[in-house]
Amino acid sequence: MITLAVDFTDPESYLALGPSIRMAQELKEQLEVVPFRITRRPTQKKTSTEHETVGERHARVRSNYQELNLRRYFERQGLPYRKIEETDSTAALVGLLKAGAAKKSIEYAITIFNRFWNNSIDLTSKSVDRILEELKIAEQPNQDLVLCREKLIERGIFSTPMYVVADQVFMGRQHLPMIRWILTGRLGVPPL
Amino acid sequence: MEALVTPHRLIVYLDVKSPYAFLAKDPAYQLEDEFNIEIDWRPLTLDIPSYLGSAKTNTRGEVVESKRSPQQWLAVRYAYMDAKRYARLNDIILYGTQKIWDSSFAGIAMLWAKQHGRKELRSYLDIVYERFWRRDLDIENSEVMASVLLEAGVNTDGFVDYLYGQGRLIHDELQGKLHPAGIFGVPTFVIDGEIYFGREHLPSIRWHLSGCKGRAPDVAYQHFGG
Repeated sequence: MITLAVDFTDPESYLALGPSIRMAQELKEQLEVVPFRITRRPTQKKTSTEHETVGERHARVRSNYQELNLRRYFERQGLPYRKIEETDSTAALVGLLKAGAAKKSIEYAITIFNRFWNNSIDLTSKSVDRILEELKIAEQPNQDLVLCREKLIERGIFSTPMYVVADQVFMGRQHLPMIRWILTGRLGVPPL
Repeated sequence: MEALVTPHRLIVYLDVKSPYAFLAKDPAYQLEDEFNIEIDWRPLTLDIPSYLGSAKTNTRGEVVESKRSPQQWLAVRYAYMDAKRYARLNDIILYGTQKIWDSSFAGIAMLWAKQHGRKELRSYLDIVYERFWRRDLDIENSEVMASVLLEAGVNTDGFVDYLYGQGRLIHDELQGKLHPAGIFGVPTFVIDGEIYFGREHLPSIRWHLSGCKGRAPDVAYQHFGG
């Protein structure tokens, strides 16, 4: 079983979804996509300011790099990249819990990610309800996002995208070779 | 020395106090050998307290002084745990450091070693990384660094003058050019005008070295050994 924690407003979560699904299918391993709301860092200024500290400059340069890097890998995966303003993903994450209860978390996550990043939906309850209906996800008992978060924190998750596999946590899709190595019996040279 | 300019195919920025740079060293060697290139190894001396807060631990690993936020602690703890996990599986010893070191002597010594040959430079990097992460090397001591150079087969005549003179100037001037060039951490790879931060991009570096043939790869921590 592979658990993947995502937030729909997190571009790294979107980048992790496709490769994770493909690997799970290839290994015939169950993948559950679970919600974990992250607090987005305030956007860094793109240019330097007069009294910038070393720490502020580091954060700005890092932030500019991260955006370039996201654009690079979105392009490689053929995904639409856009800058996301502060967006409350709560309704979509509750929807993911409902989809998970109906064993449709992957289908739901693909739909929400694709449409949200294509800018064809927002993440309001109305949009989420429409997609749940479209995916024929029946009304589920109330899902407790806070409780789910607490349980994920207990398992070691503190950000997104994070994986839990065989009681180990991994942050980022760069760990997929390690996850594959673990799930296929730890044979051969381990990834580095 | 300009941050992004090199006569070589690939620039790699390292800092001995980064466990992630340590883990990137051998796969980078593998690419250097596979493609028969010479890597332009360069120092990037991390100013960790400026962006991750600072902390000191005692010999039992207990925090005795900290200026880090809870979020910074989570990120730092995870980063060390993750690096140790990969290190353990690859027979690399990584003990957590007990303070944030000034690694500029090690960086300047790397520049010195680079002038004395590729084999000697690798030998120097291997000794420095292995001992530092076993807590068996004082990288802030100029005599210790000179003895490591000697052990690596590097002539040290004039090294101390270089360490405090020309080497320090080159090092400090380069550090001042890194942020304006978009470089902020290690390991950083510069190839074909593109900057890649982190060893997860080594598949992309390999793709560049192969002439950008086929589909550009995704990020991955992977081994390039046979």
